[in-house]
Amino acid sequence: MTTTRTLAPPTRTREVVGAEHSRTRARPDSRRTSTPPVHPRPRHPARPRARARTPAPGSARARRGPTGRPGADAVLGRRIRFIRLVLVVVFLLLTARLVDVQVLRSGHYREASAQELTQPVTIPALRGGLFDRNGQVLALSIPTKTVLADDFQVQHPVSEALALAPMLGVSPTRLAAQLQEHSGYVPLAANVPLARADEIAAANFQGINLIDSSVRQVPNGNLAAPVIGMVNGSGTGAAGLEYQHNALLAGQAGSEALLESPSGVPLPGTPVQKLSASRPGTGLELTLDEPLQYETEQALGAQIVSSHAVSGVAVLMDVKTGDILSMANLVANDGGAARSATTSGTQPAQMVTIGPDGPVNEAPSNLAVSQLYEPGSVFKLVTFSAALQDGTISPNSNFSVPYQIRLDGSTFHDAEPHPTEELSATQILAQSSNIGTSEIAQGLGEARLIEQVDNLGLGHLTSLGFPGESPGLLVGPSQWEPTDLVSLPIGQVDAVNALQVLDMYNTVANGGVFIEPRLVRATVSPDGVVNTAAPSATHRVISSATDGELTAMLEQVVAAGTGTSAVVPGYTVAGKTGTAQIPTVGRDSYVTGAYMASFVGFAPAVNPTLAAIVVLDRPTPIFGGTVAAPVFAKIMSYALHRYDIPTTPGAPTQGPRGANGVSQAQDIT
Amino acid sequence: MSPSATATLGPAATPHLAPRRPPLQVLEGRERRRQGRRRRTAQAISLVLVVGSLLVVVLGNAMLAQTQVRLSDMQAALSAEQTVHRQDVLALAQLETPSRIAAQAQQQLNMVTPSQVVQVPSVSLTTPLPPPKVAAAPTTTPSTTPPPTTTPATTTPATTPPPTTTPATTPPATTTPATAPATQGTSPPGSAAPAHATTGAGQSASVPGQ
Repeated sequence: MTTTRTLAPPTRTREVVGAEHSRTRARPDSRRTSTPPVHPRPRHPARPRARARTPAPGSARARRGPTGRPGADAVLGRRIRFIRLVLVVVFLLLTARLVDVQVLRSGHYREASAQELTQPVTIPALRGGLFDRNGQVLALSIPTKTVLADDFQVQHPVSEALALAPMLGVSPTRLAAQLQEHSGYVPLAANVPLARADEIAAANFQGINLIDSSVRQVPNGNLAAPVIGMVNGSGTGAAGLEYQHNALLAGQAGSEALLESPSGVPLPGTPVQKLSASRPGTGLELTLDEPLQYETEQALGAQIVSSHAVSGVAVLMDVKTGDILSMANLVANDGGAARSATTSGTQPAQMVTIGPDGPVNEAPSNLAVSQLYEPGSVFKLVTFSAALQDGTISPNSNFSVPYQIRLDGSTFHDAEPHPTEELSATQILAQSSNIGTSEIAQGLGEARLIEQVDNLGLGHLTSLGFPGESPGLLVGPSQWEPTDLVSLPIGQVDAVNALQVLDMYNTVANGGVFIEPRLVRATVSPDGVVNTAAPSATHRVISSATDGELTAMLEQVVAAGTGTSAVVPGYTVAGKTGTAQIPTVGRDSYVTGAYMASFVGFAPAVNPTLAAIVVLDRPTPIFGGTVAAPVFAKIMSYALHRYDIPTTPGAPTQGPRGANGVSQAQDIT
Repeated sequence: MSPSATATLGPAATPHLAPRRPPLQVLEGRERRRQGRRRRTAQAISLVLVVGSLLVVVLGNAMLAQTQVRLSDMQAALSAEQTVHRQDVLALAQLETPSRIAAQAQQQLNMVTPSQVVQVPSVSLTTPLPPPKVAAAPTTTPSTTPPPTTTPATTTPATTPPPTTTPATTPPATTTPATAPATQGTSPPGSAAPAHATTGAGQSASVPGQ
């Protein structure tokens, strides 16, 4: 091998980089020589070590830099390193942002994107139905469709209007105008039946969309409307039971998503994405009995018309369960000025048209729980029950009853003048003597009277929880005045609602056990399963012995007292009449000639099954025994026969025409 | 450079290298062919498995979509039938409305709402009722006119057959004749019309003096 020495200057040799430089470093002793010897190229040149590419710190190459100019190279190197560092940092930031967008917060951005492109559409849930105690439909929702137009997509509005108008039942002119509004959302028709909606969908009109909706149908017209209530245009309960149980009835709405451009134009050919399915609402099985409700309203309406009353309330209750079987609330359309449209006597009664076009209409609210009135003589049950319970009187206790008394500057008197009489407690109640009742109340005192008022459920909301229900306006110890010892026992101070009075008498009918009233007896799930509600709560108020005495005394009211018109042929009836004055608003006086006539009672008196109350506002004649008791008898007669209640042996077989009662005027308080 | 580095490049470093590979050997041709066949077979099986799996997935998806479509159709049909059922229930409820039935009864059947109900006392079905008190026929001077040919029950009460022949079905005599006609058809609509309730026309015919 021949070795050729090169004469290249040492500096040039040291500036060689790359493979040639590495080749020189392949020899261990090459760096010691300024001119490395030239060797033939090896077959497998030694791999240069990477460390050899970088000049050693402090070496001359490192000091001079790649340009050969020591100062400029160093600056350039720093700049390159700086730029490289900046680029690395920038790329790291971009990478971090990418990870943040694509990984960490991808859901958020996906949702934001979807919100811009998708249009959520609410699918209304089918509202639960309302049924009576026998499963008869009182209110039911039927699925329908609402026809909408996106008039931006309608290219031939006139021709489309001509084709669509017969299907929707509207005029083509109006429809054509609607299709050219350029608003993007034009409701064309609501509550379209599904069969008709299918025809429209099959026609495939451009820009015409159908969305789900429903309509609330009430097959009985306005029967029991104040109790059932109503739903508003959006399908939400607005009054009555529809409002009270709206959360249960409404169900859960579902939703769908439609893809559309940011400008609001639906993207053609994109599928509808169902986000959540709607869940139908739960139905309610009420305690009302539809035919009985109808009969109650008919009887009450006829009496409102014939007595020119302003309004009336009638409630029928199951004594043992507290179920309200019928609850009628009617008002006279003309304020009670119309003459009687029905015949009286033995002539057959005509149907009373109940509605806006008839003489009476359904009340705007459930007056039985929302209307407060001074109950009058029916309130005397509080006094007699407390006195009998405490043993201060017995049914045969005698009292000397004058016509009138004076107390604290006020004069109280009975309804009709009479000499001072010796009356038993039973006679005082039967003849509804105000003075006799006040004499009994003297032995009870203020505190006991107030306590008994509370015990009988007055002043408390009932368990119905009905919207707009009032607990009543009661006098308390702080507002007590000396004259209240006479006024309260005869029902002149406290204001209560009709249902509270009925609860009070139902307690007597139920053997002295108070039972909460109820209007809902079961819930009906969407698949038809009926879940019975819990029984009403009960608590004893009056002892059994006292209750028996009270029942016998109340029976005498109907048999030989002021309530003879309440006789139901074949049954014994116990009850009490009331003819109460109406207070003047804002003044400590009563409206002249205005009375609330009422009758409340139960039947059969021996084994009570049904209890009812009838209240008429400003009737003519004014007496509860004359105008309210016959309505009670009519309703009770129908109900007793409807439920196959056995007759009472020895009960009168005829109605009140042959009864020999006392004057009806004696129940005025 | 350190002396040790120099030493690793020299011949003395050979014993420290990695273990040598087994010497290469020439395979027989049949063995090579067999190995190649096995490899091709394995590749073919893998390919078949992959393609088959893909086909199964595609087929499953197709069947799933088809079932989904069928399910959707059935749900739509179910919804439509439920709607029809609801409409039928509503129509039935409208037909059963008490106001409609009462109006039909009054307008088409000429029925009337009773103005008064008289309760007929319940009687025992085992104890025979006492015979009704029938007034004697008035003693009038015999006339030459022939007796009336009309129905005896409506013209001559005295000739009425004695009701003692059917005592169990005869209502008690306490029912007043004046009110008996008013009880006809007075049963309230929907009532169960128990045996002790208002009487029918057949029973009121035996009331004396009618």
